[in-house]
Amino acid sequence: MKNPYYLHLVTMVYVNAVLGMGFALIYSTGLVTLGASAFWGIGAYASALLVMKVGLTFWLAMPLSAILAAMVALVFGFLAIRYAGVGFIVFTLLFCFVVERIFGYVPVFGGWGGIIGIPTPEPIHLPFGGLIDFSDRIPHYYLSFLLLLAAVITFSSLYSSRIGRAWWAIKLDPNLAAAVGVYTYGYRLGAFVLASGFAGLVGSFYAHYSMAISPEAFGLLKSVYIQIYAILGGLEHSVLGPLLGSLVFTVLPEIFQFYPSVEPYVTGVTLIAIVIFLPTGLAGLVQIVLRAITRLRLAARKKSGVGEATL
Amino acid sequence: MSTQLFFQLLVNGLSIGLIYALVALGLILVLGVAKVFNFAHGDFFMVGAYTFYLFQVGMHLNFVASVVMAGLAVALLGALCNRTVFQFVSGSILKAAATTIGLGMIIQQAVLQLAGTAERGVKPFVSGVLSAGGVRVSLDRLVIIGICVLLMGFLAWFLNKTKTGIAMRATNLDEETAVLQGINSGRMYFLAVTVGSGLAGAAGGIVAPIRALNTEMGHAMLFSVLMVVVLGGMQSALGAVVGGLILGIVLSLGFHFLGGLSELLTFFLIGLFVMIKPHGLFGKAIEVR
Repeated sequence: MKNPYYLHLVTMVYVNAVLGMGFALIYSTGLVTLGASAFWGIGAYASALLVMKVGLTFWLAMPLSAILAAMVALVFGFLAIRYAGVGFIVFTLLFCFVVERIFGYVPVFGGWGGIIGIPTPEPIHLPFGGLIDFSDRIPHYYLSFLLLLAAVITFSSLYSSRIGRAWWAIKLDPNLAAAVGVYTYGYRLGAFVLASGFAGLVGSFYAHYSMAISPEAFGLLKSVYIQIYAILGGLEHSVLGPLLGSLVFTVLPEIFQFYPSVEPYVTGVTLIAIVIFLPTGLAGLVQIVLRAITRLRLAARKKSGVGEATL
Repeated sequence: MSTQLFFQLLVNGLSIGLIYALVALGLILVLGVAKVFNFAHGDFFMVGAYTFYLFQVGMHLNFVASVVMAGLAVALLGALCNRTVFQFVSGSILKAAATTIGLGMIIQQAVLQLAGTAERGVKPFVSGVLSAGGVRVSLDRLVIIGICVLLMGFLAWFLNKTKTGIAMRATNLDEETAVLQGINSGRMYFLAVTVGSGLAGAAGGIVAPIRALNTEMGHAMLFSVLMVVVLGGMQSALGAVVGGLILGIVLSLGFHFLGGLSELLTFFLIGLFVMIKPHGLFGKAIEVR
């Protein structure tokens, strides 16, 4: 399946999955953000400018952009997290709106036409004399997979750690958590900064992958889509969920791009159907299927009389 | 700035502000009673505008009748959506968000296919100016203001003086207790969604004469109305009206003097305002699930 179109699709699925996981991370502390795409954009523009105007190599620009996005998130989160709940949603909404406008109006970002001609990442020289050249799709694919892997590993380990339990407590009841001694504000800010940093990271990747960026890609619509990746996947499953949600919601419109008159209907109906009929999302569906398989195997074992019914 | 200019800008601001208020009222009616944040509310507004066009230009109905048809059509649409979607996502904002966005996609595409991509224009219902005290203001804006005030007055009467209206407000306040008092909450949901959507549709019909119609107009309206609700408070009808008026007038004056940047500035200011009063001017805290 080295078809460049499929590679592109899967690469975008990975990028969107990381964004969705960021949203899910923030949601796991009980906050709903509509600003995820803004940090994605900050990472993208920062990386593009660092490479094109400052002359850094992509491999330095990428982590720097992630850090920059995280720092912006720190400042913004510091101000906004106090208003947890509706206020926070409104703030992130406004933030996303304002950031998109800034990208469009401030000349250094190239205006509404955006930045074009962003160079691809510089080739990596392997120790045994090979060369990874990024003029082709395949290395980009592997890089995006690596970023996804990094996100999955980071987030999963955090979820199963003390920090993850703190997040869960905060989500269940912030006041109770605070009363028990969990530093609600700090944990929420940490989650927000981390998720936004990752968004910036894949933003940088995206800029040098598509080689052209424009403000519209980072607007409210994208933020809403990121939310949908997480919701479709299932809000209880913060890691697998966004991956599946991103898969469906990135691939589905692409499949139907040849029938543009039908595409919105399909996407819309799919959205509605999944949310109503699969409240635990696609990841929940996977869980249901796996449980059903387990039960079938158990029943089969019992019937054939194999010892105790254990697996 | 001349008095003439000031009054014209004021009237413009008032008229668009009242439209915002009308649509916002519809949104919070659905949100408060049926507990569904309808992201397709803007698209309802758009459908109202197109329905108005259909009846006024296509069937040569007069202005008022066309507005009524627009309101009814969207009320019907709302009832349909309530039956199929809203009732399953009541209470959860994330689920409501995803599903109503899907709804919006479907509605937008349906209108696009039925009406075509060309922008439509409608001839103004009444042209001309009103002269008073040496100042001239366009009549059509005044008509808009008049109709909006009438509709809002009717809504206020309905919500405060009729049994059904008070029952709706009770459901908004505390659904469980309302049910204990014998109020059929399912019927209240239905009514709220129908009326709320109808308001959006009627608003669409009212402004159709002074706007170019396109299928995207709903999204801009939704965003503006969201700002109105943020300003005024999510649960407050008075807040919706006041917020709408403020936004309308500020944008009207701002556009004239600052152009496109006025939008950015206004929303930035709203952001600052939210810092001071996170629940809006008249709002109370609500939970997010």
